Amino acid sequence: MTRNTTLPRVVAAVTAAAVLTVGLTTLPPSPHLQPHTSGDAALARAVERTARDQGALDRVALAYVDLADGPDGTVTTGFGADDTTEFEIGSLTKTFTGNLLQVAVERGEVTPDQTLGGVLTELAGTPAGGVTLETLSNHTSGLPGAPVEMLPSLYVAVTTNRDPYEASLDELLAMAGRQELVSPGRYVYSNLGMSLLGHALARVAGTTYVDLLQDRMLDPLGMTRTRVVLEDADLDDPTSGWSASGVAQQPWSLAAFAPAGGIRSTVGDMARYVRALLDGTAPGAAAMDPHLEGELGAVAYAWLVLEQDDAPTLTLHNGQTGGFASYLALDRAGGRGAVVLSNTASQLPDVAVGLVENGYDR
Amino acid sequence: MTATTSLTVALALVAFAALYVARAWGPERLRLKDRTGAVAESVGLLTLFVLSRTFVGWAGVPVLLWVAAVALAAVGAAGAVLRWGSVPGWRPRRRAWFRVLRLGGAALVCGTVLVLGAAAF
Repeated sequence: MTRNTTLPRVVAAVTAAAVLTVGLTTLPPSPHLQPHTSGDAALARAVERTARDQGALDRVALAYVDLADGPDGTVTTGFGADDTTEFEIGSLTKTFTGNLLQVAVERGEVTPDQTLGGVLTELAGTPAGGVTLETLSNHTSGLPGAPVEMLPSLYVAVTTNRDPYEASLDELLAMAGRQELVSPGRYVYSNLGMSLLGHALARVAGTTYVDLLQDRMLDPLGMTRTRVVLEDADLDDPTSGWSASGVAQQPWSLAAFAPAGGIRSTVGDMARYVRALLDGTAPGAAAMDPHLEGELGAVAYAWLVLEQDDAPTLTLHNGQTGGFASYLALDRAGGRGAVVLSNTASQLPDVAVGLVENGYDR
Repeated sequence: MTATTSLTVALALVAFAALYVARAWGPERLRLKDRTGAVAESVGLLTLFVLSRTFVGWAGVPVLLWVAAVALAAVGAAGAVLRWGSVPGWRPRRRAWFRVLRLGGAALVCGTVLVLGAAAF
């Protein structure tokens, strides 16, 4: 073998080795639902197949509350998770914001038909400034889902598995002032609208949304493992999430859009929330009562109320971020509720609703 | 992206890696004719790997498909290196402008995917 043939062969071998090394060390993850690891085994058995069929990958934690069973009527279970595992609850945050509206109304700080521009004076004279607080709460204000100018960056961020909401409060207000109303009076799900509502309530109370949430909801409920982190960089070793097809997602903090979806919580804390909502002790629980004329069940402050012919009326909300999903359902008349948290962006409605409507075999 | 789509992309990755091997080691009529083509097809396969890794979910897709594609890519890369010295930098052909256009378009697509992939990583 001459030097003329040896060098190319060595380079070829090194190249092949490099390709193999890089390729095998970047093996894509293939997540799947973890086994039952904590909490009630019977509850886990009751929901495992449904959770898997509806696309849960990796971790799921859920809580079931039945007031009829008294203090023992709160049961939790977890697949690769326990009562302290933190999840992004996404738009389930909106129920907290809706309850905060109810609290502010009860305190006499605002009235439901008060205009946004009367509180956030930066928006006075703009289309957004003319909408009322109650229409923000049930998505009938006419504001778009997100500021139109955010759509390109939002698309790029979602495509590259990153948090698409990075605006500061000043940026949010500036963008809101430039929005035109789309079919006011019709239901248009709006993260923009709910975010503005949260910040308006904080402005009236002379504080920030994070502090308002802490003081009026989390502290009274004893939800000590629930938080809002406004900057992705401030998250310390968060639970990772997956898209529905199993692509790893970066965490979402939502920045100024936090009132629409920025809460991070645990199933232990969310179980406390569910119980307090059912027994009426949750701050602002009356937010769940029908207040408004709305379509698609949008008759309460953020909460959806679903009347069914052959099943109980459900009060519910769900949530989803790039890598997480949540679902909370209540049968208020029957005193039963369930909340499901998952680190896969795939909804699990049958798990929560099935428990509320049918219970489970203990 | 549905499971079917993910599986389809994974199978396409293996198929292109197999084609890469054929272009490096196969019969003369299939083989890479110049170094420009070798670089272009290597970058193209790399782009497909980045696309598959970053934007395709592998839940429910056999990871062995990735391993197979990597192994084929390694064999193909070795073959491309061995052929490097025996092919010209640019093989003259008719309608060279058409090839330049195709390479330019491919470079744009690959560059976009690679940049987005880096942002997502």
